[in-house]
Amino acid sequence: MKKLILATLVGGAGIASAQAQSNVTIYGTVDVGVVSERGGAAGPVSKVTSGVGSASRLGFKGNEDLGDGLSAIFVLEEGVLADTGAQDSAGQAFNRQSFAGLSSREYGAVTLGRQKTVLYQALGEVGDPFALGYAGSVKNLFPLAGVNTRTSNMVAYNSATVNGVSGELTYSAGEQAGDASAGREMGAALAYAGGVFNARLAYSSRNSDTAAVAATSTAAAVPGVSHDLGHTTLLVANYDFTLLRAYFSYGVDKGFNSAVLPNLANPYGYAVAPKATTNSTDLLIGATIPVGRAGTVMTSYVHKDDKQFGQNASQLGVGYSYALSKRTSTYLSYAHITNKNGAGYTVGNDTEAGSGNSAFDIGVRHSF
Amino acid sequence: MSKSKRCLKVLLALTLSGAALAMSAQAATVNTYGAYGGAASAANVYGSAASAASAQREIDVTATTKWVNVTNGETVRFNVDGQSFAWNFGTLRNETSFDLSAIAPKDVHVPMVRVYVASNPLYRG
Repeated sequence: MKKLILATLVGGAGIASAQAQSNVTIYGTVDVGVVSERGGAAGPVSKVTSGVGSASRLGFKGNEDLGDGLSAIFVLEEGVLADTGAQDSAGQAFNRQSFAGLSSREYGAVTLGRQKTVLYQALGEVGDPFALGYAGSVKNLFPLAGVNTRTSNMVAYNSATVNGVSGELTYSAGEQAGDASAGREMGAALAYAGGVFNARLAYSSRNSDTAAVAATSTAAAVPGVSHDLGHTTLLVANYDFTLLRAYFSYGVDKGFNSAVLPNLANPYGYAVAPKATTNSTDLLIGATIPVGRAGTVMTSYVHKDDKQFGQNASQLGVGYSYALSKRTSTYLSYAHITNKNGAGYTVGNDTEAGSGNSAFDIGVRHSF
Repeated sequence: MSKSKRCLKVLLALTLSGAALAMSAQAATVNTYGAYGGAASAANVYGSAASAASAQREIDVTATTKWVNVTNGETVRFNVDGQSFAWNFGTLRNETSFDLSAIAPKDVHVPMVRVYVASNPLYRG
């Protein structure tokens, strides 16, 4: 009898301890603000917008300790439009991130699924004082739109960090029948984080081809579409001078889709719509300045140099975020863009592309 | 042992093992990031003390260590001169820096080391 009791207790405890080594965390951000935009063909626009400073999201993250420094990991993260309650991307529940993989303390992590590109991570984590959000977002001019934000079907390897140095390699399959290279994307990044100094060199190569589709009994054949490869090389860095943290980013974009236009709607109503350049460079100089116990001022100057069409643009942005707690903050920000030679860049935020060449945001963000 | 006592013991054993299962089923938790563990003090502005077992990585702090780089949300075990302590980072600002001595237990004597905290990956972008 005693043996039975002991066995039952041990069995129960065994299950409990095995479970305790894995855990799932529910997390998210709900960020909503009032955005006032000026200068677009649509005239002044004022609206309530979700994800101004940080995209609103609901996520599930977990890991299971497999022993010897090895863990199974996963993330499922859905974009939420908190102003309406809608999905950020209709029909794609976990559009922001969905991946699983194995992570080793010694050898790094391999993850498979929908993940952020190396360009997006480099600018969001190191290169942009606005961390991709607010009116001053680097996304208004740097080539992070659409396919350069995150890709599906990605296999990513993140190395362990040794003496502050780490690396990342990604391969995203295009998955088009009959052409293995059509639509694929490859990325690589080398990062350094050492005390006051952070730097990252990132490279992305994108194939924008569409594979030919053979004729069927009900549909005619569709010829394939071929483009030159789009390359982006990006260097980002920041340095903490204690009184302020200085930021620098520089990108070189060559080839088709290397600089996708953030706003495709011809926002200024030009007779000739702005064109996506295939030869350009991007520059950012900026700073974050801690103010008082919980305030942060963010500012940047961003310039797009279009060497193909001369459609250059410059942006000046400033913002202020105040942490009411570790989870809740309020913010306001303003940015203005000067477009040249028919350029059509607009002041957006972390979630929207914007409608005009200036915008003012005020809002609140809660993370859980 | 009487029959009824035996039944009671079996019942107790089953209840206990059932309770253990029920506890394990509660593995999904709402993120505790940034939650204050009691009254705000200088230390918990930077996060909270954690168990060594929950640490995701270890950092050896030696006499030549000038800085350490950590990330908000992660738990790090610091090994200092034969002693150790673990800390779960959760700071008021997304990114910040402070002296390691601000979070070390009183009986752990840390050299002058600056902690640079990067933003929590859950809330980036």
